[in-house]
Amino acid sequence: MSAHYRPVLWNPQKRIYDGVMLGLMALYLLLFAALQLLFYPEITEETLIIRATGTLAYLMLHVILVIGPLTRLNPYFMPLLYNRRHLGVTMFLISLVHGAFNVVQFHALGNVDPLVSVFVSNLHYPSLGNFPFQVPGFFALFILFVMAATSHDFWLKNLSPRVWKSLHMMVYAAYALLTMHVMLGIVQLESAPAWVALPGAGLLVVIGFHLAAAFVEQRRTYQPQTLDNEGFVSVCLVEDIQESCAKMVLIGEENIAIFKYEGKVSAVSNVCRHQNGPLGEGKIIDGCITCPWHGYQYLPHNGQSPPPFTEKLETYDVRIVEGQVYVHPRPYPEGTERPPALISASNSPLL
Amino acid sequence: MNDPMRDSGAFFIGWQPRMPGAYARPVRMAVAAFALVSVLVASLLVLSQRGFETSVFEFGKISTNEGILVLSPVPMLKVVSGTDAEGKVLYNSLLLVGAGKMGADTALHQMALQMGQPLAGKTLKLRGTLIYYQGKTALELSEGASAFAGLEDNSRVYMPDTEELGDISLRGEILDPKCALGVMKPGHGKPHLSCAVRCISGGIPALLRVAQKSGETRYVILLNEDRRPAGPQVLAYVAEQVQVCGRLERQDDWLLLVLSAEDPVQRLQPRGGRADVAMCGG
Ligand code: FES
Repeated sequence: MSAHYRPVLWNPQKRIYDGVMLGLMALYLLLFAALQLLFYPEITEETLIIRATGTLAYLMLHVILVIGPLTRLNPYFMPLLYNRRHLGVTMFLISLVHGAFNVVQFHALGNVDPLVSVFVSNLHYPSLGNFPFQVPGFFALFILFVMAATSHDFWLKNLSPRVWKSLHMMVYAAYALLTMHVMLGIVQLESAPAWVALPGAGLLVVIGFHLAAAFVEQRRTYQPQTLDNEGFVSVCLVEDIQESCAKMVLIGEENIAIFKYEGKVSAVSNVCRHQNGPLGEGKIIDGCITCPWHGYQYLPHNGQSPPPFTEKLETYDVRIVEGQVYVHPRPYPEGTERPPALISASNSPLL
Repeated sequence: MNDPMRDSGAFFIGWQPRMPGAYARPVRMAVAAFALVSVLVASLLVLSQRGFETSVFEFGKISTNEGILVLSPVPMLKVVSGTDAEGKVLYNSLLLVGAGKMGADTALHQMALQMGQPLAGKTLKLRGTLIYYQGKTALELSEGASAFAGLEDNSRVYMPDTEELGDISLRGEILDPKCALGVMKPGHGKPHLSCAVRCISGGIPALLRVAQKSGETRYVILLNEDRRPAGPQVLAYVAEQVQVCGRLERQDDWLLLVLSAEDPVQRLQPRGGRADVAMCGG
C-alpha cells in the first residue's frame, strides 16, 4: 500500500482543489459586490455582506449536494468529490459570516439577548407567510456547524463511519431548512422572478441529479431475486467483470463487490470503512482494492487494509462454475480470509 | 454497465500527486460550469433586486443640534427652521431615538438627572447622528446621556402648531423610524420584521408608512388612546400591510394618529393568504 495512505495529508491535488474553490468564491463575491455598488450604490455595507454571503453559501450548498450524484453518473468527476469536506467547511464559514451579521444587524443592541431575540422577536409561528424565517436558518447553521466540527477523520474514527455518515446525512435537513429560510425570508421581499426561480431551479437540479444517480446505480447493481443451491447466488459471467474491477450485487441487506484480478475472483463488502464509499466502483491497484472516493485500500482475499492500517471489510464465499460467478450472501466477520475462486478451475460442478 | 474510466485504465486516487490526464477535461468543464453559474447567479440576483432607499444615516458623523426638547407624545427636538408669512415659527422636528435598538427615554432621563432639573420645554443642544429620508429626520443619541451639549437661554417658549384632521383609516406598513429613515436598507418588509419589533419594543415610536397614490410617502406616528407611543399595541402587525384606524392630527411637521379604541389595526392581504378588512368603527 502506498505510503500516502493517510486521509488528512495535504497534497498537490488538495491545494489545487482549494485554490480553485477559493478562486470561484472570490469571483462570485467580487462580482456580486461590484454589481451592487455599480447599480445600487445606496446599499449599506451590512446588507451587501449579508446578501453576498447568504447567496454564496446557498449556491455552494447546491454544488456540495450535486457533486455526489455527479460522480455516480460519471466517475470522471471524481476529483470534485475528493476534497468535498473542505468545500463543506468553507461553506459553513461563509454561512457563519452571514448568520453573525444577521444576528448583530437585526437582533443586537436591543432589550433582549440577541440569540433569544432570534426566536422571540417574530412570533408568527403558525403563519406561513410571516413565519420567523431566521429560525430555520439558525438551525441549519447549527447543523452545518456540527458537520464542519466533525468533518475531520478523527471524528470519523471515534464516532464510527456509520454514525458519522448518518450525522453528515443531516446536510439534507440543513438544505431543507435553508430552503425554508430563503423562501420565507428574502423571497418575501425580493419577489422578482429571478429570486423565486433560482432557488426553485436549484431544488430541481439537486433532486434531478439524485434521482438520476439512484436510477443509474440501481442499474449498475445486480439484485437477484432468488437464492440458488446451498445459498449461493448466480451473479454474472466471469467475462462480465473487467480485469481489476468489480461487479456490485445487492442480495437482501448484503451489499457485495466481487472483484476479478490476476485470474481470481474475490468478494468483499461494497461499503468502504472510511465514509461508506462504493468499493465496487473502485479498482485493484498494486494488488489492493482501492476506494474511488479517497483511496482507502483493502486486500481482496481477506478484506484487510495492509499494515500499518487496520480497517477491515466483511468477506464472502465466491465460486465459479462453467464461467458463471456465484456468491454466498452470508458475510464472514471483518477481515476473515476466504480463498479466491480461481478462473482457470472454474469448470467443476457447483455441488 | 461498462465504465469508460476503467476502459481507459485511468483511475483517480486523491492521495496521488497528480490526477490522471483523462480526468482533466471533465473537471475543467465542471469548473467552467461552476464559474458560469456563479456569474449568472450573482448577476441575476443583483440586477433583479427592488433597489434600496436613498435614505441617509450619517454613521460616524456626530452633529450638534439646537432646539426645544419635547417629550410628549414622543421625544423630539424642535429645531427652528424659519417663520411663515405670518411670522409664526416653523420647526423641523427631529425624532429622538437612542443608540442601538432603544428609544431615547433613558438617555433623556439621565440627562435630566445630571442637570438636576426637568429638560422638557427647554432649549438645549444635543449631539447625535442624523438619520433622514423623504423629509423626515431622526436624531440618534449615539453617545447616550453624553449627547447633552448644553442648555441655552430659556426665553423661547414652544408653541406647537397643531391641526385636527379627523377620523381616518390609513393603509400602509408599520415600521420603526430609525431603520426606515436610513439606518437599515431595506428598513421595511419581511426580512426586517424582527429588527423593527426589537426597535419598537425597545422604545422607539412606531410609524405607519403610507404610500400615497400621488407617489408621495407619508410617515405617521402611532399613538394609543392615552397619547402615548402605541408600540405594544401594534407590535404584532409590524412589517405587514395593514389598515389602521384612528384620529389624525398634525403637530408641526409630523402627522400623529391616535388609534381607535377598538380593532384599530387590521391586516391587509396577509402574506400567503387573503383578508377581509372591516370598515373602521365610528
Ligand atoms: S476512502 Fe473514503 S469512502 Fe472510501
